[in-house]
Order: sequence, then C-alpha cells, then structure tokens
Amino acid sequence: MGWDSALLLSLAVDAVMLTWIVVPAVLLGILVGAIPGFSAQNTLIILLPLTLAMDINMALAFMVSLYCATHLGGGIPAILVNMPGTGGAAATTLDGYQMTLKGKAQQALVLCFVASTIGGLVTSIATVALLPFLAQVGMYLRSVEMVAVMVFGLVLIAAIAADDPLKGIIAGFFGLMIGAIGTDHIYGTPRAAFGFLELYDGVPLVPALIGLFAISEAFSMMERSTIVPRSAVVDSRAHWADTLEGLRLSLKYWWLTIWTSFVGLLIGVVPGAGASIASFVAYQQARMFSKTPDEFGKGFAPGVVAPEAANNGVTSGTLVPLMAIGVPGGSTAAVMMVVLQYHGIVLGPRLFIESPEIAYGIFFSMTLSYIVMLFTILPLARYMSQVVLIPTRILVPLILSLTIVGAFANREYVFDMGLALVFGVIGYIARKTNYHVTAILIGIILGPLFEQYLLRSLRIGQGDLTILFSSTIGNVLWAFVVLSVLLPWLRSRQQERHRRAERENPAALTGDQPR
Amino acid sequence: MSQKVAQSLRQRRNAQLGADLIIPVLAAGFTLYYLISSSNLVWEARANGTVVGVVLLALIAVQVARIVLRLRNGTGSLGFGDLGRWTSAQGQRLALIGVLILFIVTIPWLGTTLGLFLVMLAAMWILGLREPATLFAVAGGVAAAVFLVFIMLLGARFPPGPVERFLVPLLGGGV
Repeated sequence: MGWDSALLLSLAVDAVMLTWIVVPAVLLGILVGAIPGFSAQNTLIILLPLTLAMDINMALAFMVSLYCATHLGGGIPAILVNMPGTGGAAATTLDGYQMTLKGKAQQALVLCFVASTIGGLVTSIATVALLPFLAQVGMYLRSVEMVAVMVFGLVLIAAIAADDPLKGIIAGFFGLMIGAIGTDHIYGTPRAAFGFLELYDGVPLVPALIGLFAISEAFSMMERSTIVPRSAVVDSRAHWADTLEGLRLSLKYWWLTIWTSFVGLLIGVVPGAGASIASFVAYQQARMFSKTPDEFGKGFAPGVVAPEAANNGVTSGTLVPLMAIGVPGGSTAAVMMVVLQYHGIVLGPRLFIESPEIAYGIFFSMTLSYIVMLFTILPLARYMSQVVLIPTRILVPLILSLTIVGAFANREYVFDMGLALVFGVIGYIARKTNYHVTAILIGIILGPLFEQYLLRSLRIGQGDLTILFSSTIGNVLWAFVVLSVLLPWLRSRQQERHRRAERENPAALTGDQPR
Repeated sequence: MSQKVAQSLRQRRNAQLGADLIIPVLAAGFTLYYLISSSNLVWEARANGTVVGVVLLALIAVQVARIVLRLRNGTGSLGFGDLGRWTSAQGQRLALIGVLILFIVTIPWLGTTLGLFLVMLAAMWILGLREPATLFAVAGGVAAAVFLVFIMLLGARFPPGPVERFLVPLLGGGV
C-alpha cells in the first residue's frame, strides 16, 4: 500500500480545521480524566447523542481528543491526592504523590503533562507510519481465521482485564450470547427476542453501552458522598520555578519518555491489555534499567514519566486492531466502533481502501489533540484537582438522567431506555461480582460479526465444525487462545498452592520464625 | 501468623459465593431459553447460538464446580455479600431504579423536558439533597440544556410533552 502525499496533506489540513472541536474536547477530557471512576468511555456514552448528530470526521476528532486527554487528566488526582483518575494513572501515584508530599506537586504535574503529550505525539505519528502495514495483515485473514481472531481477542480481554480469568471469559461469552439475539442473517427468523419487535435487529449497542458502563458506574458511585474525600485535597500553588524545573527534568528523561511510550503502543495493540497494564509494565521497565532503582517509589521523576508516557502511548495502540481487523482493543475503542458503525463505516482491512480519510484522519486528530494539550494544560493544572469534589448526589442523578435520554436518542425508541436500565442492573451486578463489563460489551459488539464469520466458515465446511481448525494461521491463533486461558489458570493455581502452604505453615513463609 | 495472611484467610473464609452465581445463572437461563426457542429453526439460524451457548454452559459448569468445591472446603458461603445486604445506599439505588422506570413509562405523556426535570428533582431528593435552590437550579438547568441542545439545536425527536408543545413553536421549531 503506497503513500498518497496529497491525501495526507489534505488530512492534515482537515485536522487543523477541526481545532475548534478539539479544544473543548481536550478540556473536557482533562476534566473527566481528573475524576476517579469517570472514564473516557463513560463521557463518550453520555455525549453519544451529540457525537451521533455530528459529521463523522468531527465526531471522531471529538472522541479521539477526549480519549487522549482523559489519559493525561488521570494523572492529576494521582499526583495531587494519591487517587488515580483512570486505571492507567495508578502507577503514577507511586512516585507522583510522593513528589507532592515533598512539595514538588507542580514539578510532578509538569513531568506528567510533558511525558503524556510527547508519548502520545510520538506514538500517534508512528502509528500513522505503521498502519498501512498493519492493515495488510488483516487482508490475510479469512472467515475461519477471523473466528479464531475474535475468540482470541475476547479471551485475551477477559483473561487480562478481569481478576479471575474464568469470570472474564464467562462474561465475554455471555456478551456473545446476547449479541446473538435478533433475526438470523440468512432466513431472517427471529431468535431469543423475547417477543419484542425492537430486538429483531439485534441488541442495540448504544443502550447496552450506556447501561453496562455509565448506569452501573453511577450506581456504584452512590456509595460515596464525593468522589474524593475533601480532606484529601492538597493545596498545590503554582510556582513558575517549579514549572521550569519540571520542564528541565522532562528534557533530561527524554529517552525514557520515547522508550516507554512505545511500550505503551505495543501493549495497546494487544486487545484488552490497556493503559493500566501498560503503565505498570513501563514503570517496572524504567526501574529495571535505572542506575538508581532504589529511588523509585520515593518521589523519583522517572517514576512519573514512565507510566504517563506509556498510558498515552496506549491510546494509539488500542485503535490499531479496531482499524485493521475490526476488533476493538479496549472499551473506548468499542465506543468509537459504535459511532463508526452508526455512520455506516465498515471496519477492517478494507477501511484503508474504501475510507482512508477516516482511518488516517483519526490519527491526525490525535496528533493535533496532543499539540493542543501541550499548550492548554500547563496553566490549567492547579484548578483541575477541584473537580473531584463535586457531590455524588448531584453527579449521579445527572449521569443517570442524561444517559437514559441518550439511550433514546439513537433509535428513538422508548424501549431502548428500559433496555439501558436493564443493562445497568446487569452491569452493576457484574461490577460487584467481578465479572468484567468490558468483556460483556465486547462480546455484544462482536456477536453479530462473529456469527457472520462463523456461518460463512460453516457453510464452506457444510456444517462441519472442524473447518475452524483447517488453517495454519487459525490453528496458531487457537493455540494462543488455549495459552491465554491456561497461563492465568496455572498462575492462579500456583498462588492457590502458595496460599495453602501459608495456611499449613504460616511461620515458614512469612518470616515469623520463633527466636 | 502474620496479620496479612490472617486477613487474606479470613476474607477467603468469608467469601460470599452466592453473589458469584448471579451472572452465571442469568447467562445459563438466557442460553437455555435461546437453545429451546430456536430448536425448531434451520441449522444456519441455530449454529452461532448453539456453538457459543454450549461453550458458555461448559464454562458455567466449571465455575459452579469451583464454587461447590470451595463450599465443601469451607472457604466461603452462599451469601450475597454487599448485593444482598440492606443498606441505605441499597434502598436509594432501588428507589432510583423505581424513579427511572416511572420516567420511562410516563415520558410519552410528560415529554422529555418536564420528565427530565422531575426525574432529576426526585433523584437528588432520594440521594439526600434538600436545599430547594440547588434542587431546582440543577434540575431546571439540566432540563433546559437538554431542551436547547438536543431538541432545539440538534432537532432530536424526543417524546414531546406540554413544555415542548408550548415552547418549540414559540421558539420557531416544530414538534
């Protein structure tokens, strides 16, 4: 696939023309990222009616900018109040909060912002360069392999993201089962629609998304009066000297920023791995190769740089499988998939041939949003932490009412509002019992696609299921599926054995030896 | 025994495994419904649900077996933990679900703006907000914002009620 410089130039111009939508999206994203428990996908879900009403390029620029900015915003409460705004900022708390305790909050924030923006910029540019080649990989996948790819993606998401892999995989397959509701592709006979005409087209994704994420999150949020205890907020006044020192340190650790942002990009490409894993892996890598590993955890600048660069590197990575093979790499990518499908965009390798402006436009918007972030975030830093003090008794009704209305906006069925509520209850139970809601959602999204590829394969094989194991690439993928189930299971067995040993002889393992 | 180990053991003993069965029971119930209701269809229409359903039922069987084993080992009970415990938050949650159901049922008559205003008011009241000024300002602000942005600006066809029927023509739109 060759490069079309005229197309790239026009995309760059288009991206710049969308600055007016990128700026509010960036500000909103930073705000949202700073609220623990609130995430890019939740905000996108709340604003879904708005994005569906926009032109596709505008909607994508808005979503991508908001998504990237949340990853940056997540570092603010992680540094100031030891509470990560997003999962990806959890590793930032280790050194970021220690820097705050030492009176270096401003430095830590600057390190976080610079690492985030540079990490995001470098990886989004790198992804634009790599996408044509990654997309070609998708061309080699036929129906049989696509079935394996989907199961692999789902199992990987479930096994990596959930604490208990079995629970995650059950959630994923439950989602696939829900995704099978509706009329079949060949004869048009309804299946498991509970007699509702509204389900004949399958389970609508917007209400499912709203219920599983936003409503269930609001139900969980009710247990606290504010998201962050007021007493936990640290007064962090801005001093320009600290800002300059932060910038100096950022320059000093430029190589670490680049390297860990690529760690994030690679981990982001793996469906389900996400920012939380990437930031911890990057933190671990930075410590492993550091000349002073003992400094980590005590307020050491690289301890902020590495996780922040990595969790922003992830943003480009998670979009790669979505663009190249139509499998979302994470929950935010799943939300974007819903919007893209709503606008009739077919994801997968053909996207680069049929709608290259969409495929590349996303990354151009991403690059622009990081440039905008670099200029907007520094002056706003100290005011951001106050967001975490909004009382939940206002926030919860706001989320609930707006999302229920949002559920209606997509198909204009009151039925969808009820469906969102049902999924909200399912999502809440799933959260409380550690069945992963992302796995359920990705199962629902992949359900119809999975059926298409499975049926195509089975028709080629005249109903014989062994056709699924007839290709080399497919079999390699099946082997990966088995490995991704077995490895976490073996690890948990090992932990179980260790626990049992502790129970039988606690003194020997804990060092409580009698003297 | 160290404190950490003792705590971990206590947690394991107190594990409320009944709650862990809710999602599998829901999933198994739905799968059985799917398999039974589609049993008389042609194989192409049944294939996907059957393949996925059989795998799902097998996974659920493994999960149930795991729970039974833990119950036999005495490392958990069939309790429902936080989900089954009656707390004020649980009561508020159920009340909110009730209010949302009422909102969904009455929206064709009340319309989006008035319905949204009332649901916001009720939800904030349930969650303990009592200052009338805040209650009316927030509920009114949200309802007005949705009316202006979605109904007037974006022209979304939300269910109209008395507010929309009065205001939209007045502001130059059509319900």
